[in-house]
Amino acid sequence: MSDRAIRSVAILGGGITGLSAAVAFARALPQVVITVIETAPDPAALADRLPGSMTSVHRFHASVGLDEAALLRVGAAIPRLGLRFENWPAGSETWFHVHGDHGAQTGTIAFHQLWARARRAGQAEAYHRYAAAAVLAEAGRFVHPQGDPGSPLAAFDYALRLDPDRYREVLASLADQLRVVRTQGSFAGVDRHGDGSAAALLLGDGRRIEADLYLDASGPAAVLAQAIGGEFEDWSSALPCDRLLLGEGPPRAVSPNDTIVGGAHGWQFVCPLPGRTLLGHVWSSSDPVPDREGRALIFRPGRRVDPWVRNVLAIGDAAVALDPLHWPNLHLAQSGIARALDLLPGRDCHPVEVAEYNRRSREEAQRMRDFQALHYLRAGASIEIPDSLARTLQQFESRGRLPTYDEDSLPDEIWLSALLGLGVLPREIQPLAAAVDSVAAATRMAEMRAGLAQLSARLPGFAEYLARAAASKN
Amino acid sequence: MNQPAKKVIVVGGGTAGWMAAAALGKMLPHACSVELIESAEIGIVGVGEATLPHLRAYLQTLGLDEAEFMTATHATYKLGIEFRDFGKPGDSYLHPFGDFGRPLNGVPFLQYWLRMRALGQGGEIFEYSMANVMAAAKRFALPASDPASLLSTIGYAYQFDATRFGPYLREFAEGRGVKRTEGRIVSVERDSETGDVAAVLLESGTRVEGDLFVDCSGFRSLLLGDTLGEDWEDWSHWLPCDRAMALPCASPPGEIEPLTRATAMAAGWRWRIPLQHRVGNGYVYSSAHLSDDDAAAAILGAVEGEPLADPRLLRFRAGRRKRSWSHNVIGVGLASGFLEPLESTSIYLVQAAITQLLELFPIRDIEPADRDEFNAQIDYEYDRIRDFLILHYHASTRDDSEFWNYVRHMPIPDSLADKIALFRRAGRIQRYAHGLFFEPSWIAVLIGQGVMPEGWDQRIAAAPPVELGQALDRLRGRIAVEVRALPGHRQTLERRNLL
Repeated sequence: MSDRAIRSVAILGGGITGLSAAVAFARALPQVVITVIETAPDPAALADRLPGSMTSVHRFHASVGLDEAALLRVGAAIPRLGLRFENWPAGSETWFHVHGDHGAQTGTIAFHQLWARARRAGQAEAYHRYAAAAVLAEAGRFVHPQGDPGSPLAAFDYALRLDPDRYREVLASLADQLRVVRTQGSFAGVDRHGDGSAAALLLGDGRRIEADLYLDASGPAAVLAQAIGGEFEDWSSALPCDRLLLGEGPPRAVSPNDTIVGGAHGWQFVCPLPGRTLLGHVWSSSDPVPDREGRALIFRPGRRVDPWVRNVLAIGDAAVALDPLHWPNLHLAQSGIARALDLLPGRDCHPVEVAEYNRRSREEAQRMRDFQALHYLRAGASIEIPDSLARTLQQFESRGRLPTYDEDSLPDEIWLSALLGLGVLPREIQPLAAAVDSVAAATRMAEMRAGLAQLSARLPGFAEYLARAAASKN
Repeated sequence: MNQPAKKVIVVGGGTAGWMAAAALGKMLPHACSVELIESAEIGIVGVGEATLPHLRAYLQTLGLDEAEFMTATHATYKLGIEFRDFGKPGDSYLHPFGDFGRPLNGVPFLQYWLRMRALGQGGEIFEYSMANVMAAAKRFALPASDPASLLSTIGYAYQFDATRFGPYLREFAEGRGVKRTEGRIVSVERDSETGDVAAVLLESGTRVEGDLFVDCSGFRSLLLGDTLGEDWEDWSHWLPCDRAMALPCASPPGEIEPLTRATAMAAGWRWRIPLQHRVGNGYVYSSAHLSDDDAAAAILGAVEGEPLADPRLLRFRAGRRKRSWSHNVIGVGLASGFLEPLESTSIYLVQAAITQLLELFPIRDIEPADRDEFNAQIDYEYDRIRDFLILHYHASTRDDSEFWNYVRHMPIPDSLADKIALFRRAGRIQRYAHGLFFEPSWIAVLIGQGVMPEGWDQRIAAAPPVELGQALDRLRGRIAVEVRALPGHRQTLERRNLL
């Protein structure tokens, strides 16, 4: 295959998605010539415009050689411990969605089983209170996870909030270092080979860009992928929101959390970045917000059935369009890029690898859809529940069991934190877990809580920690 | 939450029955009472002498002591399964319990090896498996927990006398409240409304009622098959072997091999499983291609030691019940399906069913959704193992018998064809979140039987071949040196006072 290896990649779209792809390909395949065509940004390309990431962003950064401390220093990123959910479901107490361990197993019995039993008996605090990350999040404190495996601070994770403009600049300068060719241009069309594959990108200024593989990172319109063909699967029956208004506010007290506020018309987010605060309002056009409708970004939740067709691969919003809840946009974009590198075919783009890519992408995207749909369901939206989510709900509601899906990129802890935070309390627990003595379990839980509660007092506030980290790095 | 305990009736006292009873008795003492019905008149199949590493998790969960278990069942250690003459006569490879090298820069080790192989270097992939090199040298040491040690890359299983495993578990189970009833079941009573099994009647006239019936009656599938008439999905067109001629023989003197051997034969294959006190052998064959007499003659001619019994015939069919859990009957082991023991999966399938039953054990009434969930999980397991087994027959160039000509040319399931096609391109493997046979297993059998990827991951192109070659040589060398320092299998058994 070496003689049939891909020699050149052309990427349409110079936003965060396109540049992420460029640096990942350039780092993994230094012999490949990579050209990014920086088209006018599509305002509805949410992976390029939103500040949120999931914990997978660390993996991506490690793979391309981006140092978190450097990102923090230039104000391109700031850690995020959790999402603070207010009024979601309506009228419920505020809860925190965080990454990492909640409680500890008893033998082979998962903590959430014993928690659910205690909660039913009125003997447990909110689920997030047993997670180190949430205890810190709630107290406004932060440290990086600590190495000592015995420490409660070892078993949590965090994500990054990204300043989209600055993060894009960092990626652009990394791309330059890696000898990626960046050129401004507009998409005017595509030349095709007899077999339907792309032969060249035609730009508005008359240039022809030829490559072995083409990436469409141009946003939800997916102009290139659309020209090659393929269907879009609409998910609006499960995901009601299709309007987004982004705004900016003055800097607020820095917090390790983003805040999500449920409301009568959709929901809003508050994402405090260094020096400014990004705000957003997400709602459904079926429940319009009168004074905001005209200014809103319109998006359509769903996915391309086959993100990869012949030698054209759609990534980011061109492949999957979701609203910002839980910041799945960049996560899926960067996950698609990593998957493409894992399965990269030769320049023939053999259908075997392409089909496997599309299969994995479908399963991953569907689970993300299910994850978001769960939140809308719990907020009282009338949605069509996908079968795979119905299975999760049935098993979880009846006995606290979480079925696994091969390509689900969300670890169990993420699902559990959301299910229990959203008030999906199992009716019963597994007979296996019921064998654990409830008094002993309650004692252990109280001890855990006491240990975690003490923890936060000893740790620095978020702002202080960041300042200290910045000082020590300089 | 305080539900009345369910009365669970386990039908059959073989390996499956006692594994199920012991697990339920130990793990769900509050949720159920367990009664096991067995009849001394009915023999047990007692194959499945070779196991997979998962059995260790079963023993640990029950809190059973490994040394005690090994002594009671005359067990030896097992590092993998050696396949001889499968790809073509003269071939030999081990499916090891362990990894091949380690990923580097996010790229699987196999890819580095493929790259060097294209340059005519790097040797065999099997040289990069610690478990394989240990098995070939007939050495054994327990895995290490330190990830820096090569011994952390191995797993192990046991080879044991299955006829002793049941009685060993029986003692454990009875100590945990499992009631044993001796008797032959002569009829089954069903609830006229629901169709559920209400009770079984014994020859003695005793009527045994239950809420849940675990059918461990073996091939007869007394409740799931005979009583409920659960449909059978036949796979004999993919796995035509339908008989086995078993023949234990005396152990040869010298070292005990820490591996199970499967050797391809004219109409199937034969197993060789070294235990402490004897060697288990058997010829698994297709009755359409070989007579029983010829099979008996062939196995008698093949064994190395003095035969310890007459050849014993077993009959089976490859396939599974469409549903393993139907009404209030859960089939475990042979009562729910059969796959030939080529990859030592019989006891694993028993264990998988028990694990799912513990997870999905009814809280109040049986929830149809839980039953569906159970059946879906068991289907995954069966389908994946089925594909993996078929691969051993499909990926062969043997043309020296009618049997091999058939299996070599038979159509294979699409799910397997896809896996092979993906691997053939550039050595990629479909991943599973759980279940059996991850990347190393597929790599071993595919490459061991001559399915060689045509290309490799392009990310390797950046690695300078000279340095890459040196790194691979170092790893091979380190494995070879470390294995030479390990004790022999027999010595490890003796040191642990197991022999």
